[in-house]
Amino acid sequence: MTNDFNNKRLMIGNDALCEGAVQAGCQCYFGYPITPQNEVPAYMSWRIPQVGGIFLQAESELAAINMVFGAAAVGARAMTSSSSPGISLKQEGISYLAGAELPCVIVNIMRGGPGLGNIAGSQGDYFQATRGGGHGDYRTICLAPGSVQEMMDLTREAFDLADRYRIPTLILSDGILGQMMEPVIFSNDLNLFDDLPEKDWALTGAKGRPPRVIKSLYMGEGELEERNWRLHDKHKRIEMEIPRCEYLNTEDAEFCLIAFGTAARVARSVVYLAEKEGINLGLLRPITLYPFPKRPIKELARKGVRFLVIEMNLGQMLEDCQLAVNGVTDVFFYGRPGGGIFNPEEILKVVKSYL
Amino acid sequence: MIQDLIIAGFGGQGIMSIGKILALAGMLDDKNVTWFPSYGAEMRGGTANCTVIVSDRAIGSPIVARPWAAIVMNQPSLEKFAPLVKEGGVLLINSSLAGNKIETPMNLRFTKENENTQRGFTDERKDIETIRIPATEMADKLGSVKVANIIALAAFCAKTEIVSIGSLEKAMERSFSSKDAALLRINRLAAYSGREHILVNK
Repeated sequence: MTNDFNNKRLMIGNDALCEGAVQAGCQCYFGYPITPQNEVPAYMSWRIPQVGGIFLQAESELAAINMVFGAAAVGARAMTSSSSPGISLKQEGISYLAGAELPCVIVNIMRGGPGLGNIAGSQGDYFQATRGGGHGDYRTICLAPGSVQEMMDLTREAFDLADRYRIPTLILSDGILGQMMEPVIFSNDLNLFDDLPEKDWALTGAKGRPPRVIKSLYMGEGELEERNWRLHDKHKRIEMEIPRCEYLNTEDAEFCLIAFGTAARVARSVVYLAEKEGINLGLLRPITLYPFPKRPIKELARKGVRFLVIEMNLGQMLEDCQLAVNGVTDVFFYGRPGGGIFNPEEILKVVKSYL
Repeated sequence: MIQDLIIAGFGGQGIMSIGKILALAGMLDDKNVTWFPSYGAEMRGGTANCTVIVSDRAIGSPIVARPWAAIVMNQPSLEKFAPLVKEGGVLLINSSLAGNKIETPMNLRFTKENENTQRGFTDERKDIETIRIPATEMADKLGSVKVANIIALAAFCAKTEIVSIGSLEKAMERSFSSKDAALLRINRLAAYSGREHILVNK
């Protein structure tokens, strides 16, 4: 189907995500099948060779993430994708990537868990995605798209953020955003950061220069601590520089929903329903989950705004919201775990019970 | 205005396709649109449905519990989704296969075994507008039962004006032209007969 019209194309989220990667100049994609992210490797298998990149279906998730390590180490823009159980398998590799400070993009199209769960959309991996995920004291940038357009735009941006901070960057989406179709606008302005640092650490062959080393093993006296302090400084810089969220009707609202991704889409419908009934209800949607947009939430709390956190899990981002609010006002929670999905009417009832 | 609808029927009736065509037509009208398929462990001959939302505002939930409208192409879908349509909404029934006493076309005889198809189900709801169109029969007369979906979609669009006729035509063109001209022709014919059915019976 040729769906182009005025620079717009009707696409499913997973395909749009691939276009975002292609726009960012992603040179390598390594993947392994799992529902509901299968459209990503399927799309990449024909799309990335068109722009001179490499598509490789790995023999396992572990192989794929370690291929990303290799590609990132030589300075290529590399991506892998999977869904929840597959992302768990990748965690060892992600920890090594973070330890070696290698930029890359990892996509998680979440499904229900724990274990194999089911293939419906869920948000059960929030903790894993925002707390590092693997072993060791590290974080990864985590972006949460809320539309098919953002599946494309945030993926494109993820490559720049990864390069800018030399850090693995996660796209945390879910089966619903991955499978649904919406128009996307193809932007012509693709250079987000012109000032990206040169990859003067990449293993490009040591001819005419001293060899470089990329590793995550630091056995020497004081070496590891020094490395970890450096990672820490980087995390603090990220926390200062890139938290981002979207507001809807928060100006006069005394009660505000907080939700990300698909849950934020449902929350938007709740705000529309509330409008109709004359209820002042706001919505704050974190776009970066790590770094979490603490300050905007804190500012609303200081004005006396009370919150209802909505998640497709049983309360994970809730904890970040509570930390941001720090007891200043109430933070309530409504969620349904993997296997369940809420509707706007259901949440409006919950909202009303707190008003 | 936010118009959300569920399109449902048997797998193979082209449910997902008309959902996509409608979404594309909405996009061509410069509206916000969202198409969401029911996906999961589906089986051949099972039921399929998708949600389409066409709106002037940014779209919220892609999943709709109580839609403004529904297009139901078979009896199980009628039973499942007719009760969910919001008051004042629209329900389009493929009366060849759901909720009507009609002669079943030879190639669809198997549905006759299902006594449910003979129930006058929709008479139970007076608070919504019900459109009955024998889409499968009409499609059969055009030469292919496969275009029943387009007949239903065109009739629905003629009734509700959810998208413009021009955009619907264009969306169909984009969806079929890459395959072959004959396919586009019969689908155009189907769209015309669906539209005509509504205009004549107004």
